[in-house]
Amino acid sequence: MRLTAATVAIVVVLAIPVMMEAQQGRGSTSGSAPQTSSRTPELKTVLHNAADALGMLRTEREADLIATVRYWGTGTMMMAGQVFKVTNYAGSVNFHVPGMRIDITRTAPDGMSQRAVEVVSDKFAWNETQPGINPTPAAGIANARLLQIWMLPQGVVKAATAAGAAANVAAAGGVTTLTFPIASIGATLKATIDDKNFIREVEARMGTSVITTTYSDYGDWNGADYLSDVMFPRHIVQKRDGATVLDLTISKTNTYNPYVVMPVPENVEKAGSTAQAASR
Amino acid sequence: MAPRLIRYGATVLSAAVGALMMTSSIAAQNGGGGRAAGPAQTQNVPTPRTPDGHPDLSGAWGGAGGGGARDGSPFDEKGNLRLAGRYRKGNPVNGERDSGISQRFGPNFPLYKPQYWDKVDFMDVNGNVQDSNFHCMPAGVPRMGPPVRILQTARDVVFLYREKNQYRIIPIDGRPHDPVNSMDQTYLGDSVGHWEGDTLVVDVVGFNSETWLGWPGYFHTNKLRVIERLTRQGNTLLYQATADDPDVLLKPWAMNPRTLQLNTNPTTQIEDPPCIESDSANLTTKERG
Repeated sequence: MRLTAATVAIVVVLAIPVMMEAQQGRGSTSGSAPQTSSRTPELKTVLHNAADALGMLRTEREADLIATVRYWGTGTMMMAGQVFKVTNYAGSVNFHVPGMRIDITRTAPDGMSQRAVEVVSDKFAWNETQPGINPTPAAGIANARLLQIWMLPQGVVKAATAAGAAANVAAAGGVTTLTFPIASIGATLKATIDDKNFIREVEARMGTSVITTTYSDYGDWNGADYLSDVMFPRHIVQKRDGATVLDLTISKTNTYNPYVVMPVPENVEKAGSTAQAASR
Repeated sequence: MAPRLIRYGATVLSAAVGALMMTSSIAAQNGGGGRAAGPAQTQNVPTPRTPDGHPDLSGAWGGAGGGGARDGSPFDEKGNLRLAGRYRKGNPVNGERDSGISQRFGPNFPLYKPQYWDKVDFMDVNGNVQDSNFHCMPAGVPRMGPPVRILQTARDVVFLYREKNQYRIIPIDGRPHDPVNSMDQTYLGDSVGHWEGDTLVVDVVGFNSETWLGWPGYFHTNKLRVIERLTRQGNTLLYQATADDPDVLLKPWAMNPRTLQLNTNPTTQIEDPPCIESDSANLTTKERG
């Protein structure tokens, strides 16, 4: 083990303060007792237990050290009323930025294969022909793409932690719900957490849209020779206004904070600045 | 966990250089105060200077060990590696995996050209085969970080590392790179230094492509150039390094700077455990925390 002093310094600076507070005196484990009491649990307890169940809390200090995630899968997606077969879905997330790249290869009902690479990096969004290549600005869609980051299980915990006192917890029938706003993108999320502290459903309201994602079959899908103890759902289903838009089965993950970058291309930054100036 | 950390003992090199350092740098280390042990106080301590007026970087920097085992030692009284109590929930497997995650936490990492993103990922995931340092080869510059001990004369500085007993002898008399050595390809490259005000600037070229910039698969080519900057203020040493490799990087990468305190412990040693080659062919896991 070679945990360097530099790494420790970075961790100390960047670990989510609220999370650290939540950890104090708790000592909970991923196998912590289900919340069977009818009493509503405290927010910090809910966040700690969810983070712990997802494998986010690392080292003896139990700090959230999950910065990046990659995942791959196959399934189906709905576009313009048509069902596409997804033959490769590669998601790369960097929570630090925050940024995300979704690289999809899909087959249209007419048999034509398409590749779409959709990227967001903070306030900038663009499309690529392959990762990092031929960027084209995608105006007005950055917040919708950022929402996808914070709807991921680990993203929910981070966003709810960042919401602080604006987050609320409710408990009923063995199910805990966590509601919080993400002011920066104008969305409100409601996450449903089961008795094992896993996030089962996330409902997001943004503008007039209601987006719901359900997660099931959590596990460490890094492969037997690369286990990290970070839990990720095997099955992801997303609905928009009641209609299923994505049904994904995850085949592999890399949850060891893999290399995930999305530098904002010059033309995208320029287009973003121009649009900003025009809107003033 | 690769069985690399087998014994904890002083090395032949440390013993050899120890006598040299006793005469060349004790005065600088002690700053005239002769403190008994541990990092020196940083406030209101004048920066020692050599007769030519430059800051004297000589000394042991950081927690350079020595003085026998203390409470913080990873080994027990019998010399066995402590496995319990240092890891999350006391589980060494957690320690291994947490280390793997911690070392990749970022967010400061080199920005590669898009065509190399997958290569970085591959090198990282398969680091137990691809990382030459995992197989006891030198970590190289700048991965091995700042020296733990510096000896300085008017003509050169000697950097000593607790990293496979590596050392570098760096001329600081203003000479350019040697035309032959700088075209050679070595683990530590060809270094020349010069002073910019009170900062020693070391320019390093002539690397092989075996070493990495960092643990998570940050490979480089033999076009790598590293600029190290060392600044002493009182009993504090600031170490900064910037790596540039225009063949694979989009822009130069500045490592996280390191600030080291002068270690005035008179029993300080450079204790460097031997590196034991990992048996990659028979490893059953890619984990390498």
